[in-house]
Amino acid sequence: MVPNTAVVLCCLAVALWLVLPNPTARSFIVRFRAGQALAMLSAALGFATLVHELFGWNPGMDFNLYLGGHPPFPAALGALALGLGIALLEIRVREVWPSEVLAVITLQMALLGIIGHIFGVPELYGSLNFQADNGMAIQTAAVLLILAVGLLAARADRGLMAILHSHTPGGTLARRWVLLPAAVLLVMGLVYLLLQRAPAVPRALGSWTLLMTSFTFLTAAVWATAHVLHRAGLERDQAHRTLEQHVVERTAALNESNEALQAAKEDLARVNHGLERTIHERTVHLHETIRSLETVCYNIAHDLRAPNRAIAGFAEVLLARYAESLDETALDCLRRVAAAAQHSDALTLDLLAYGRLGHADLPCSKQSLAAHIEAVTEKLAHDFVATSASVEVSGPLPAVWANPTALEQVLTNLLTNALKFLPPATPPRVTIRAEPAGSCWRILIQDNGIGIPPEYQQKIFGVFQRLHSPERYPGTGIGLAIVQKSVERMGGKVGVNSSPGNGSCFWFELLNCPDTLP
Amino acid sequence: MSEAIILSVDDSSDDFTLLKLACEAVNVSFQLLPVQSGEAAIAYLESTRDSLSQGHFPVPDMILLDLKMPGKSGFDVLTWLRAQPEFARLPVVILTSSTHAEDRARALSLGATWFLVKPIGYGGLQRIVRSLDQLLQTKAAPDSGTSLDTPSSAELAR
Repeated sequence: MVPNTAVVLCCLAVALWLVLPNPTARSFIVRFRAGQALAMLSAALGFATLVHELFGWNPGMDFNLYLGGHPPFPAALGALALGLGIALLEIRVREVWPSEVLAVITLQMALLGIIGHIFGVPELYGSLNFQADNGMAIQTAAVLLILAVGLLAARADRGLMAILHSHTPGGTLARRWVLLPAAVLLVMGLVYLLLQRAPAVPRALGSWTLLMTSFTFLTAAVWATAHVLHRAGLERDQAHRTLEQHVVERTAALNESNEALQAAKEDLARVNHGLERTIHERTVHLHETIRSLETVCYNIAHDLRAPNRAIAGFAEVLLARYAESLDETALDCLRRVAAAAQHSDALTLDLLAYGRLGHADLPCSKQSLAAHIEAVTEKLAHDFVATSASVEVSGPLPAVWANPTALEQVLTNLLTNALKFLPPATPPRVTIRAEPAGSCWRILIQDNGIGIPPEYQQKIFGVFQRLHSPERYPGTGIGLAIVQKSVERMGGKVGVNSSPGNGSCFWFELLNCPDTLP
Repeated sequence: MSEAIILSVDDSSDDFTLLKLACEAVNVSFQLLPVQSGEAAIAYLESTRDSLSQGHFPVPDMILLDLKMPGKSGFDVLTWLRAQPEFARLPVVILTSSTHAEDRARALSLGATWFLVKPIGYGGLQRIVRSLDQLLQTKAAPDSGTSLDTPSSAELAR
């Protein structure tokens, strides 16, 4: 190896080291540019040498560097190719990376040189005059080989190198056969040389063997390639068939679930339809039941009240016409009979009224609260006089959204209670007022009665809920239940604020009149 | 003037008996003629048209009519009555145990003079009897011009 060659090869090695990928280093681009420059220099030296060597023309730039003879042309060519390859490392022309092509060419030249040295054929390592001491040294060839492989490996993730370590048929092929040409050349050379040197073998046999071997190897290479591709094709077909099978299976499964879904949907629709019909039938039935119950109630009213009336009436006839001929016990019994019959009649009437409140229509309209209170106090005037009661309306009373009959019933029941539940010998004092409560009016009726302990304040609105014996405070125990039901049916609510001894303030809420109404 | 006649149409003999006792107690000027059904009432009124039987079946001056009866109801009788020219102006007082507003409205629209709810107790019944007597005397006096409003049930029941 001449010193020039060594210098150029060192330059190339340094250049290759500089362009190795290291993107995290901040100075990468600087290093890359330096490597490129060094590679260009090497390429230029190689080129100059080549021109000088092949054409005898000295461009003049290499004189100072020639320290011990000219580098042989394969070395110069290798230097040129590797230098260009490093310089053009990041250049791509369509699908081809020129640096790879140049590296492969260098690789081939190096291999050729090494084979030439092994078999002692100077032409193969660049001797232009068939002399063994001329041409590229085996060390140079080895370094070129290493550098070319290095250049390929410098960007192992792309181009030919990517193919080499891929799992595609191409990758398999490349891995298996990439070194085959070199091996073939080696074997063929060996056979040729053996035949040349064996004196008993005709020279023509050597040429025939050489050609035959070349032919065989080429054919074998083609068949090997064909085999690899064929197997890959078969595998691909198999995979394709499997995939198609999968698609068919999945499609069938999908269709099946679609059909099931559709069937389920139809079932649901059918059930839904059936349900609607059932609901309609039940509703009709329910309405019929309510109607027949109403008829029953009406008949009960009529038929139950008749005996009540007869009992009370005849007892009172006896009391009125035969009082002189009866003793006090008999009279007391008769009074009790009459009172019991009257109580029974009141219960019948109240229960009927309460029952009807559950389902009867209560059409609401704008009602003057003041007018209704006046009507009720007038109706109860006898009771007011009898108990020396005073009723005071405090402040203006609004119009409310109510059913007139139900409203009057509510007022009657509440006022009757206010007159009834009093400590002995206490004249009732009742105050009525109204105050706004959101979208409602709250009507409050304050009395000076006996009051209600807190634990009973909810209970008293239940049917038949009494806190006192009917003898002390007569009544059916349904009055407040009717009040609550009536108010709730009109969209309001009821309540009471009370404590024993401080009177009670019963209140109920009714909706304001809608603005749109006159 | 002969005694006025009130035809009482009621299936309950208890109620009729009490009414009769109340009339005795109040000492009214009218006579009560009881019939127990709507059919019987119509049959009686039909009979009054027969001039031969006038003496046995005098035309009543007023009808006291219960509403709920087996067979023809009070409404049926009232409808029939108002369709007869000679009974179209006969005073008809409904005396029923029904407290329903619908019944009251229907009876008045069919041409009832008064709508009274049967009271519980002897006192209420006596007040009703007095009111009936008063109504009869008003009707009997020609050109009195005053029409009596239905007394309120609450007032009568007291």
